[in-house]
Amino acid sequence: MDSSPQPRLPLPDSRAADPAAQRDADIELLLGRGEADAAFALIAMRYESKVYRLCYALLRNPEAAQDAAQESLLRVWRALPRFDGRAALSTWIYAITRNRCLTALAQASANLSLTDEAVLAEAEAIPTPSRDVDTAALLRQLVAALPPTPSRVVTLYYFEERALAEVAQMLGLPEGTVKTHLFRARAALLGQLASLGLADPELWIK
Amino acid sequence: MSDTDTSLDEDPNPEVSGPLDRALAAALRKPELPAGFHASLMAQIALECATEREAQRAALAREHERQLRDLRRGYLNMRQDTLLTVVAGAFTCGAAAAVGLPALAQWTGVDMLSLGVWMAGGLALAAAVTAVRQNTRLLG
Repeated sequence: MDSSPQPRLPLPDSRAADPAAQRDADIELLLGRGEADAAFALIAMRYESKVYRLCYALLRNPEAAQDAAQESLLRVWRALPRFDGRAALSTWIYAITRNRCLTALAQASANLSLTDEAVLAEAEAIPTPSRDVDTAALLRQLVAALPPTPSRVVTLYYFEERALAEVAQMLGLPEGTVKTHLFRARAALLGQLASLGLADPELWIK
Repeated sequence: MSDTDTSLDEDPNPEVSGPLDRALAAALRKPELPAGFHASLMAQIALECATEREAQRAALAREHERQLRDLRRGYLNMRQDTLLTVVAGAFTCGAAAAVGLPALAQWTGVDMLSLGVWMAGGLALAAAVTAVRQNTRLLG
């Protein structure tokens, strides 16, 4: 791996105040010194789990998420000597990850046959509600059935333990947009639960 | 690090949103990184590094072969040039001797045979020294 340092721009004021930029200042310092291997070791430690969770939220499949996460981190490693600091390191890593996942989704949908669609539709059918329904499984199905962006927002919001700023960065969305999606998704979920006869909050947590 | 959840502040149904929030948190627990993920990633990186080094080594070996071929070709050309130079020089000297020796012998009073032998010897020595110096310079 070519470890010759790239010219680094001075950190703009907006980035200097960014918590993510401050968190990764040690990594950027190593990159500035041309120590790409040491920088990647820190990146792997700090971002492996986050990248995996982002892939999981986008792809909804553990095996596909693992492949996409590894491929994304491999691409980060290859491109690391060329990182010039114009964007925050986390923003850059998440953008690479999202692009990889979107490519995987496009390939998967291209390979999908009518037979597969029918099987998936049956597998994702909401079960007939009853008081014994597994609410957690039902909620996961309802969230997965939301439109793609709200579904990903809700999933990541809870994966990241309600860290709104982190979710916004992972999805490349403004925080206000993330809040709006959360608000609307909750309203949609409440409506669906009510339509399934599960309006009573006591049924949701067992 | 968790930011304060302000998305509930404008919620018209806070009495159900709180329980829904807790239910979703329970249903959407963060997935753990699969076992062996890091080791597998580092193994892929190590393999890519090795492949890159092998490709670099092969490229260097090809370049080395190319330079050796160029060097040998240059040496052969130099030897051919030297030989041609010696032959041409000898011919020229022979022609000059054939034309100039009789006049020189008459002018100096020395017989042609002696004069010819001395001149041939001197020329041969000069040609040999030139050839050796050229070979020595080109072969370092």
